[in-house]
Amino acid sequence: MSAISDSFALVHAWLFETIVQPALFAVGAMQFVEEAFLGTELALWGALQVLVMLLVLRPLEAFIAAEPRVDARAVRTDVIYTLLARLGILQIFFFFLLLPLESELDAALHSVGIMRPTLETVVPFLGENPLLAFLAYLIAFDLFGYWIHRLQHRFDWWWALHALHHSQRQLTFWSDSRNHILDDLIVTLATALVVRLIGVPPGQFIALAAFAVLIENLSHANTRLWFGAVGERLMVSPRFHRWHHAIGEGHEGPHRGVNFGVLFPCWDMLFGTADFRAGTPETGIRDQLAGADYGRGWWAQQYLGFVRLWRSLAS
Amino acid sequence: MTRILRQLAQFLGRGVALALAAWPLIGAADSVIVLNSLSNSVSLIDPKTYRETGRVTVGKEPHHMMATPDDDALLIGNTANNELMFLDRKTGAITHKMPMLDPYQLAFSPDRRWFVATALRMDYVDIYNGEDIIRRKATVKPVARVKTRSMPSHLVFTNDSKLIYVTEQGSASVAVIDVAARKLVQHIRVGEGPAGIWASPDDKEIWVGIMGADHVVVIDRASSKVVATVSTGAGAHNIFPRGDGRHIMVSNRVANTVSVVDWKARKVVDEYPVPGGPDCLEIIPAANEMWVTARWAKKVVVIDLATKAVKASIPVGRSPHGIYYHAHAPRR
Ligand SMILES: [Zn+2]
Ligand SMILES: [Zn+2]
Repeated sequence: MSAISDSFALVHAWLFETIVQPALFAVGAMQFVEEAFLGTELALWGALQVLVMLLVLRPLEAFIAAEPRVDARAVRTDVIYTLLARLGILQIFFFFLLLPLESELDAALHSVGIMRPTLETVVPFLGENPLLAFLAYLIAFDLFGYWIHRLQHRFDWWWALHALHHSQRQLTFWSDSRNHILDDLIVTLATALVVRLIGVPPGQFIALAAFAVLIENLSHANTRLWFGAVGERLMVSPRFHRWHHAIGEGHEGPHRGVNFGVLFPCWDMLFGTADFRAGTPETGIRDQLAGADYGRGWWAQQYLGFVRLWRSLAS
Repeated sequence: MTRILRQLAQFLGRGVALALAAWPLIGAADSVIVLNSLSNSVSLIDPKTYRETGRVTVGKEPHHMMATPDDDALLIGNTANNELMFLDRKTGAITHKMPMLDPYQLAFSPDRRWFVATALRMDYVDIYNGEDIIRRKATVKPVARVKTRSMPSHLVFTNDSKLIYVTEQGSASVAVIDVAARKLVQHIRVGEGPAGIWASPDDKEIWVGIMGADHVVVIDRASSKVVATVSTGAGAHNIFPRGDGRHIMVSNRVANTVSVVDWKARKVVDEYPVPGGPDCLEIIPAANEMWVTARWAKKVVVIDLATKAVKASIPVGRSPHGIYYHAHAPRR
């Protein structure tokens, strides 16, 4: 284990010192050297993650598929979404876009003299147990993720963007990052606000965080896999999340959908939106059956997202 | 017989208790202390064996530390959870905490009256009563909060304790703060990404490491102008006095070197290769060693000052930053 983490650190340092830092130096952005160091690490984790996806999730889809993989082009588009998100390209874009806004936010919070409470100050004993603190943050952020997702379906303008995520009729483990950039931006901003209010999770558990993202990838995988009667209620499975993407189920009914949970189904159970049925329903949005077009390639999907947003705001 | 057994048990019990109490002291009493900024921990390193003997969990993203004026505790700034922490360097025990806004770089004024912390994330410099910190009050309030330009990172007091010079890393400038007036009185343009800052003992010059370039600049205090640049190496970052009153050490992050500069002659007189992104350093005169945190390599590198050889490369936590040893070279 330590041999793996040592070689990871070696590759990380090498990549940073031979490519990233000289580039920063050349463009005169050395003040962001520490952010870039962390960013390099996250990108490296992302690359590793894509590798694990290929090695573990791809065979899973091949051997216990939920439906035949017929639309290769649709899958390729989702691969682009995944690479943009996992290799940190989106994050760099957001970082520079949100930088001025972020300091405004900080200034606003602190001008009113708020010393924000962190989870550790509320529950002091978490301060001495970083692993427990990390898990506490994970649960808090998952609850936040649940409600963000509920709202993505609740507001028509937000659904106009989030529909892009649901428009995939050929669901695979690549589909998790398939989102409109404006949607990503809003979620990033909301997350930044929550981080300001409850503090940052302990940063040393990147491996665990990467594992959590793998669970999200798995939940979109084209597989009949489920975790058993108990496991289904502990962790979001491909079967569970497939119902969220099901035509006529995932965005309909009193709550405008079911199974909003990201990592843990407990929020759906708590707020009455869980659907633990078996089965492999067809995925997509109902109006696609009537010919609605959400675009094939990345650019078309982004463009049509803006068009839907415009229409929803105009009406 | 039972009495003998009981006595024996008591004796053994006491021995175990003693051993347990003394255990953290073994190797810790004389430790080099290193802050692992991304592991949220402190490494205790035995300077004789070059081994990490213990690791203590502190707060989030600790970057810098300093000893209290009485040297009875190490002050650690946990930037990401807004907290100043007191660490007993002999035992590794955390003895006190106080809430403090994003304490990135810390300093006491030479006359001990003021304690100052820069908030790199928040663009503030907070000035506290030194006594409040020394007496370990439960909560402290800054007597002044001075808004700066982007990313105030390192700071230095003038020897008369009247002015604070702060590098504004995101704004290519140095801010001058008048402590008595509690006001920012001037910005001096110095170059992209200013970081480490040092005041010459004669109080006439301020030296600044320019991370976005390959040099340090000299500010003449009388005219508040940059009067000289001294080329050291790409990514000139932090500045530490050698301890002889004549030389300063400059860590060059991109070049992976530490330059020795004769500040009176304004000349580089020597250079040490230090791999892995050198940042903070400590000089241990008794061993004639320089200990440098290598940010990118997750290591502390020990350099033999005479031969320039790397004596040890000690694995520590992620992104090691601040470093402290009690028997360090004089800070001059
Ligand atoms: Zn959804
Ligand atoms: Zn989904």
